[in-house]
Amino acid sequence: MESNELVRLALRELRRRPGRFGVATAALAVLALLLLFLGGLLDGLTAGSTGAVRAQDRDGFVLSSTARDSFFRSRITPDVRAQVEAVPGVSNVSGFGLTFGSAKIDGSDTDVGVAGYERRSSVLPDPPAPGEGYADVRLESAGVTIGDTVQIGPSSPIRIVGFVKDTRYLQNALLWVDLDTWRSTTKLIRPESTVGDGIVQALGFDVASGADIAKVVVSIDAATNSITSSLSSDDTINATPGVASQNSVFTLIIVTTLLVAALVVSLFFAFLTLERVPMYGVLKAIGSGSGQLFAGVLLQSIVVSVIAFAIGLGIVAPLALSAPESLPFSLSTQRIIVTIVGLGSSAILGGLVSLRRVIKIDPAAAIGGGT
Amino acid sequence: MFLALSEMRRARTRFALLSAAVGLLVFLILFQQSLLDGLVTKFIGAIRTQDAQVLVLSRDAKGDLEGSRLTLAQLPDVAAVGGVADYGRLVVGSYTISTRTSQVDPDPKLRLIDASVWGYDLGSIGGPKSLVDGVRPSQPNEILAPTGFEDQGLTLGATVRIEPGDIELKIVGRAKDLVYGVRPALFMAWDTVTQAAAARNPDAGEISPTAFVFKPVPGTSAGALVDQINGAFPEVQALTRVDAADNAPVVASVSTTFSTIINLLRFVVLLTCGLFFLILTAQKTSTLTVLRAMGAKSSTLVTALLIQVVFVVLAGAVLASILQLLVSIPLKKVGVSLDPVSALTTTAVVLVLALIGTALGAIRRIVKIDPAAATGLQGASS
Repeated sequence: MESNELVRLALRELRRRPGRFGVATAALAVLALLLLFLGGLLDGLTAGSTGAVRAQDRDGFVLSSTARDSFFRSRITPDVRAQVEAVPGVSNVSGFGLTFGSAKIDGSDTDVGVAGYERRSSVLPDPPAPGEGYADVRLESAGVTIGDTVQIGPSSPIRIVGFVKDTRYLQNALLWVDLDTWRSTTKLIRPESTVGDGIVQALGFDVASGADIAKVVVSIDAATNSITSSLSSDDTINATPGVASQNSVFTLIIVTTLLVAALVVSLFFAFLTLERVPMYGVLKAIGSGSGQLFAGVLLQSIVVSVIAFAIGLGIVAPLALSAPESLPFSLSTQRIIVTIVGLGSSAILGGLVSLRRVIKIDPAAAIGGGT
Repeated sequence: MFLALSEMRRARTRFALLSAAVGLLVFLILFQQSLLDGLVTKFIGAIRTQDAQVLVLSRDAKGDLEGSRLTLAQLPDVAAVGGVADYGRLVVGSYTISTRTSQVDPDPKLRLIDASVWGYDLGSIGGPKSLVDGVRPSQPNEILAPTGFEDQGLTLGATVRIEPGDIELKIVGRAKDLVYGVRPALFMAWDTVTQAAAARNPDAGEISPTAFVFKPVPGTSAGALVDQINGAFPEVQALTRVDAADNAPVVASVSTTFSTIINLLRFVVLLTCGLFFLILTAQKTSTLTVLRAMGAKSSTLVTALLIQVVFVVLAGAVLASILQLLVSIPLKKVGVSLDPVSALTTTAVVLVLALIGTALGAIRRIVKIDPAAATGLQGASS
């Protein structure tokens, strides 16, 4: 029998006996849903924690060496800033500071942070005038509109002049203000974190074209006699509290879930193959090869996993669109592709369990066993 | 029993695959339950461990200790509410601590770790309820540290420093579960924290208390004191110690997420076991029909099936426990461990789910077998 006829046979069986594949598809659909949910949750948590760093579009950041990569524990004085600016390969040095607080928005206490910055980026406009700020769109969902004033604790009100996207830090929506507004707000809401004029928590910087960021960060720390700890932008993101540990835990759960999916597929197709031994015997007797027969098994396992994935995606996607703002969930195209590739690979791996049995089928014994 | 075991012996691969699938699912459930329990303790263990029965936070903190800021001027007014036997102030902050990599080596390297620093009034409430070893601090340079962080240099008698600054502190006592925000919590004098804040930030203003802590008079419950304070001072939020720990925002969000995942996994167990035994039963329908025709009762055949379900789940549970033990070695720091009670409970739940899955498909099919149908199988030759 020719290969394309065997392929049609495999697909025909799927069409004619969908019930037979139904429960396996349902089990895989739940696993696909779980994988998408886990992946979306991980991506949402990561995005919501690191937006403020990514939004600045910098090649690297400089913090105090004793800060252990925490913005809140870091303090950079003008002297240190001058040292950093003098390092060859460093350009566009700008200050940054961050303070968390709470504001009453629409009658509810809402966690809001204040971020002071100096330099525009692809996400952030030029710093606003003193007393004004750009709000993360999360605050727009909470009821803030342009022209509103937001008062954080006992601080002076900050007038909202625009919105920016994906600029949160540790799941807190931020108001982006100039550095003087940040300092004065911090003095009122977090007196113990007050900083003097010219002092910031961190410096963002770019490297000159052609310079190696890895070498530049080493140069910066050497120039400051190790008072600073400089990181590339990626390392700064990974150093965000909770990001690395979330990644490892979720990855472990996702990989284990994929293994479970492979086992479910292997179980199901092990049974199917057992049932089809007489049929495979006949097909082999009329000239089909083991490889061709196994290709049919693999094809069915892939089709079942694709259908299961589609069902899982069909459930998760509307949930993603209607999820409350408080749920850190983000379903990206990349995550969808990674999940379907993972699930498909698990299906192929699971289907491989039947390979040995298919190869071992003896046409004479298989046909003779039926009389 | 003989029927069940001999079938499993003959189809080892299939039953091994199912046991492996159930084992991985049980492992995932055990792992997440353990992670959740461990994480919750790592997030708020210090709240549970400190001895104040009532904590008062700022209302806008919404139960989040780190987001709370009060003023010292509020304390005497709140303390005057009545029913208060003792009260104090608490400040919580995140600091960098340097410890030595070895207390024995005369020239050990310094190691920097993240720590949660808790300042309270020595001799008053706000410190840990009980100690594992050592004594309570009586001097500003003495501190309490958690057990379980010996590899990070937090041993009894060790000297640590708050960085930056030259504030040298000695660990004079240790308590269990002194952790907050997944960091070791170091309890010390209020004035020491003031000094640390000034050393880190010379521009720092006066430290604001994170919380006020209260002990009710005998005869007044913590709940009653909470209600009194909340009724009299709308700008603050009083919580019992239990509520402050269990209802912390991070605990609620982590618990909800993990519960959703665990319930999905349980559903997969039900489907997987149901699928396997349904297909198995369908494949041997003719054999079962002959057995029924020969006089075997449905209950006998169902019992054999149930024995297989129990065996598969127990084998899976053993595999899951082994995996959990292996994973707990590198992940001990985040609280992952093998809890025998949790393992037994999870196994029992999974067994019930597997039985339900089997009942919905395979058992129904067995019960519906008509022994008379066996005569039809040999009809042509009779």
